Amino acid sequence: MRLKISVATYGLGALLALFVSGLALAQQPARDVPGRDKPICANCHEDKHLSITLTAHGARNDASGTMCQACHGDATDHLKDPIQFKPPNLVGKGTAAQKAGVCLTCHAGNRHLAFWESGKHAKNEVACSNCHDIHGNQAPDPTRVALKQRDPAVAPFETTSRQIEANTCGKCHQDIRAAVLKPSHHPILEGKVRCTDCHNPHGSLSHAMVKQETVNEQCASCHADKRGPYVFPHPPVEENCLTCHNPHGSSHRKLLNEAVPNLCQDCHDVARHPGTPYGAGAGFVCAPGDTSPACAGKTGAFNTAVNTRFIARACNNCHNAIHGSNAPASRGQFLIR
Amino acid sequence: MHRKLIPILVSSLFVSVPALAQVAPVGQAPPVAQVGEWGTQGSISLGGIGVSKSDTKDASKLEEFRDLSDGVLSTFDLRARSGKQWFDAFGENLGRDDMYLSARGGVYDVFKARIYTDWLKHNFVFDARTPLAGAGTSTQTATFPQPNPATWLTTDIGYRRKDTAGFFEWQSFSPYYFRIDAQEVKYEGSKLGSGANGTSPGNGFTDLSLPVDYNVDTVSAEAGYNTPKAHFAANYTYSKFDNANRTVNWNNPFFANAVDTTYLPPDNQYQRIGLNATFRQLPWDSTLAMRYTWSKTESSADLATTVLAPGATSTAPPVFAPTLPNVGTFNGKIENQTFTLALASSPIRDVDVRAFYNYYKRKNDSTEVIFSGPSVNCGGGPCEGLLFEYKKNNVGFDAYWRVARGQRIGFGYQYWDVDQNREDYDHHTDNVFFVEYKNAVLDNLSARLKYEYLQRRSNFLRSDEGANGNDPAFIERFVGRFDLADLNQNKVKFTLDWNPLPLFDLSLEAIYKDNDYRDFTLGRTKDRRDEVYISASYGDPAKLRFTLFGDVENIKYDSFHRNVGAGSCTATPPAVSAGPNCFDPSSPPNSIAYNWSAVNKDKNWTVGFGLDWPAMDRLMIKASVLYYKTDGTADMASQNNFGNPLPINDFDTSETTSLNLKGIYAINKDWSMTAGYSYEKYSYSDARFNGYQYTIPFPGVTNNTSQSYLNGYNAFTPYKANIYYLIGTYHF
Repeated sequence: MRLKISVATYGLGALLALFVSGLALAQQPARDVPGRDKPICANCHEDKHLSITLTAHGARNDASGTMCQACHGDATDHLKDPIQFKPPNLVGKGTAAQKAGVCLTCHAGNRHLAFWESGKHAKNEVACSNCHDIHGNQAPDPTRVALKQRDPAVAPFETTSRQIEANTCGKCHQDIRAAVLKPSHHPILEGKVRCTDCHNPHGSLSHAMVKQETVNEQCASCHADKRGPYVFPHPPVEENCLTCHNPHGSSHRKLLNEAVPNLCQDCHDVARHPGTPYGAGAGFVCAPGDTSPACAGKTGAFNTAVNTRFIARACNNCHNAIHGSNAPASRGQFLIR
Repeated sequence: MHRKLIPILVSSLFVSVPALAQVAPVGQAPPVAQVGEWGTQGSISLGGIGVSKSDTKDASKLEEFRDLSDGVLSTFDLRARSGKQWFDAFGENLGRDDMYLSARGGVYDVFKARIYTDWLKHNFVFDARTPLAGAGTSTQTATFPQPNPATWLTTDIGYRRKDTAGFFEWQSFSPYYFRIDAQEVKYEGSKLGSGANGTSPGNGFTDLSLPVDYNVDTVSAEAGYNTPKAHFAANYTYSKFDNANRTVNWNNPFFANAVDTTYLPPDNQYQRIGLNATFRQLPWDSTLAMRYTWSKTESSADLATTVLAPGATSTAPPVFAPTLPNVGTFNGKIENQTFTLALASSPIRDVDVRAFYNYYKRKNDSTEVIFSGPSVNCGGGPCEGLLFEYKKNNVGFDAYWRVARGQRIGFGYQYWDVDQNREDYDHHTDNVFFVEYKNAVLDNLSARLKYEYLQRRSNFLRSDEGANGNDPAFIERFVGRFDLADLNQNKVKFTLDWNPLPLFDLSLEAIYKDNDYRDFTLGRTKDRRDEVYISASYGDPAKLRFTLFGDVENIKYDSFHRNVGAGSCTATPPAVSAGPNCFDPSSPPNSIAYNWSAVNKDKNWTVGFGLDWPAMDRLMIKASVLYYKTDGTADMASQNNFGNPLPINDFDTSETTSLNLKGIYAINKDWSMTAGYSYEKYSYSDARFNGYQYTIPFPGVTNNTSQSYLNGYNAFTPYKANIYYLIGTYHF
């Protein structure tokens, strides 16, 4: 609590200082960055010029509109006769490959784009401009790259004003947009986990363009406590987290693909309790149709035969160390400690 | 102090701000201000939030990842550019549990750097109950029995995560670059846990609040060479996970309050080396990319030489039985290696081809541990850890041919060959084919249809398990685990994007996928999902933007099982016998040994609507409504209705409703105000939680040693919340 107060105090104090000093330093409103020549293109396309003034693109522009022409093509004829001659503008009118080619003219040297040609987006004719809007609104958080977000946001109340990447990716990946809205989800809409934390939309050599080489390495990059190695591992856990979890969202707690105990029983079907059917008659209250001695004629009453392998966290009530255990002997092998 | 300070700062901010800044019409960025040789833009926002919760007993679901406490909301952003340098900063929710601060900057073509801190809270239960003192610590004590939850303690279960990181990238020697990243992630709080009380699943369990005091430090360095023709990079990562607690000691009610031990995730160290190379502009417009990675994860744990166990007789006190490990210390060491080669080419006009090869190897050099303590054995024998390893080879290609303008045909194939050392499977091969057709002949219409077929064939090792149907191991012959069982999978995906009018688009996505697990009697036999997503959007930023979407998703899991409610088929009375060959699913059923089936269904659907409406030059209205329904059920049936398995009508059934209404009003060119209201409602019903009780007496056990103690997790999470906020923003 004390730390929280300190941070709030100093943070807001810094804010205030920043604000006041900004006012003190503020000079005349300018239409451009000082020391930079206004590009000739801005004479007609001022709104486009202003939209990139404080971006890396605008910073490299000059009087002849070098950066404008880098994307929109040679404007020599256009400058002579703006009506009759238009720039090639492949970045606006070309095919996906042509559009990407324009961007790669400069950005091919970007380390994030090292595997662009090998990625699924390039293969499926996705252009840079599908996600990026060079002349669009700037992101609320200027420390992140602005993304195209044409549709109004639809989500529960968000405490962040940052751009939510899923709103951009979800425009095409509609199944994922629906998944992140499910009751069990990563904090994606809360702005704490981004699609690009796990995927590289600019190309990857891994399946599903995951950033790491395997799913498990990807998951462990945040969930370091699951790395083990354990004396008693759970092999499907070691092999692929997706066997049990859906990282995009689930209607079941802990991002599980299916409700437990059924998920566990899909693999574990041996004598005694793993192979026992746990229906509604195993719950806290007597279910309709329950003719067992504990519940016959007592629908809705407390079920004195409630089964601890079904209620609450079901199998995990006892098998708590489902991702692996260092407990000794049977406590470890059966993942109960 | 916190609450008092805020109004002072707020008032000072508002009082001190003369109306001399520049521009801030709603929806448009202000022009650039000049500060020295820098051009700048930015804003500062300050306001408050109030949240009222009604019909909410446990707000942990509402606040699972969000800090919705009443208080101050704050945001700032700054963009600054000079002819050579740049600097950006952003911060929000200062002092709150979901605070975020970020700054980046650099000198063009020389270097760039970024630093940030991002806080997150993850709540599991508010006001959880527990009879154990010391919840969330490594020592939790109670004197059992504790049959009255009203006398228990309360605690919140959840943790806070603080992620602080940064990078520095040196670019002045382009095309060579060097980059270093560093990150520290701290976790503080607690998480859900529990422990079985006794040695049998019939002895109940006790919920625990396990301590979370983790620290993860990661550094990585990368050096590379990058040009339009080639890319080379070498990187190294070191990551260290430290857990301040190795174990949790707690009084176990079954063992007469003796101290039991639960083991927490061990410290670990992770190292990774990666080598990347890409060659572009090769013949046939080809790009060749390759990657090699090596990683090693290590951990170490001292092995317990005793474990809490029952006494020699049912009335004898519990003992700490020897576990007799073959070594004193477990040293975990797993090495992974991967290699990938991918070639993307256009050998002839209008044809794109991609071929790839992937190799994965996991080598487990961890200590092989065997516990041979006679009274704490595993199924009658010693307990042995499995050193899980695998080797995978994956090769394939895909090709796309633009057969005519706007029409493209694609097809592909890949093959997997996997060796591993699981007890049930040691090898499998996958063959995956796909074919797709894309039509974009019309400028305003694009459609794509893709079909994919996967065939997996596995080498099952347990087809001779068990001597006969009376041997408990015999049942393993019939159990196929779905992650590796023989499988035929069909998947169809159709997408349609249509722009019937300017600025208006419609889209449809339909997915069908079925998995048919073959040749096994027990386990998951099939699963199927069909999903339809539709959306309509209109977007004229100057006038009106709206989006309407909906989806329906049906998921079904079919499984078949065998119940054998006794340990032996032919026990001598009075011991219970399950009948001859009881572990053979084809044997005649009786009330103790019978087959049963389950069909789990998840039906989910959503509808959402969002609107951005510049109602006036100075007023922007943003509104959205979202409704999400999940409906989980399980139908169950058994031979002769033995066991009377009743259908589960609510299996994670929920409804979530969210309404957001926000108005942004530009008071003048410098100031704007944002006022908002949100309503959220969540209802939840589940047969595992309905009628929740904190204690469960075990039938027939009168001394309470097998009583279960629950903490309330997920039992009382439905909520209704009204959220109000008002924020003032100054643009400079």
